[in-house]
Amino acid sequence: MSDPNTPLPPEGWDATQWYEVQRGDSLWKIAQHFYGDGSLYTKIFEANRDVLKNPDLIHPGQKLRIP
Amino acid sequence: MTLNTLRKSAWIACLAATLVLFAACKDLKTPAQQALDSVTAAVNSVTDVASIYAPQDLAAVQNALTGLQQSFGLKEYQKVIDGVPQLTAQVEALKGTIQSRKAELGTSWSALTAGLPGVVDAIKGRVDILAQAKKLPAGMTPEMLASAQQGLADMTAAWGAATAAANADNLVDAVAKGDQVKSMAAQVMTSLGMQVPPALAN
Repeated sequence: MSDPNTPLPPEGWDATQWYEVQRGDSLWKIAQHFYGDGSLYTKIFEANRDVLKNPDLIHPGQKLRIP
Repeated sequence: MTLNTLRKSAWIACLAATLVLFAACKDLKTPAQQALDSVTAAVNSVTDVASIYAPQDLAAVQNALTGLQQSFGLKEYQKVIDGVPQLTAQVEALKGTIQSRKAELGTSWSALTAGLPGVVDAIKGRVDILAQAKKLPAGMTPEMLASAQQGLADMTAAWGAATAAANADNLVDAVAKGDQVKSMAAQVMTSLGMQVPPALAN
């Protein structure tokens, strides 16, 4: 997803799923919400490597891709 | 003049008129045949593509051609000669209709090919992750996930068929199947709790 060579989808077709980090969120909690299983948080971390350096450090207001 | 002479003259006049008519008829047969052959070839040259892109207009053209062929069979050569230009114009109009329909469908197909694969990939990514989850998110049952997996398989098959139709120069089928994939994708995304891109809502 963060591959700069990937062409942008045409307007209206972008299927990227976004989530805005809320106060008290963790990647585990977000994974639990979207996938039902917190241990899959690595999927979200990997999809957001361009903005996340550490899976334990996310900030309210950050927009994360949810694969 | 005796009655016999009169009868003889009338008979000769009648014969002469028949001969003139026959000669005129014979004179018109060749140009009528040539005109009919030419317009038949023109119709035949567009039949395959018109049956895909403008079947109703094609039916009208074929009816007109059948009419001219019947007139020819009835030796109404002048009628054939008079009717061919009109049919030729109809064939030209049909070609125009085919071109504009193809252009319109080409635009739709380009949008589908540019947008749909990314949507299907996004669904596949989510389905693959959910398939690894030990527990599903609130509101999602294993049956719903199985249905989404089936939907994804159906979409992939329909997209393959759409691409095959486009490769066979049948954009009518390609766009129809692509639109099916669009609505299936919207359905599956909704069932998975994903945000549906605006293009899928159209």
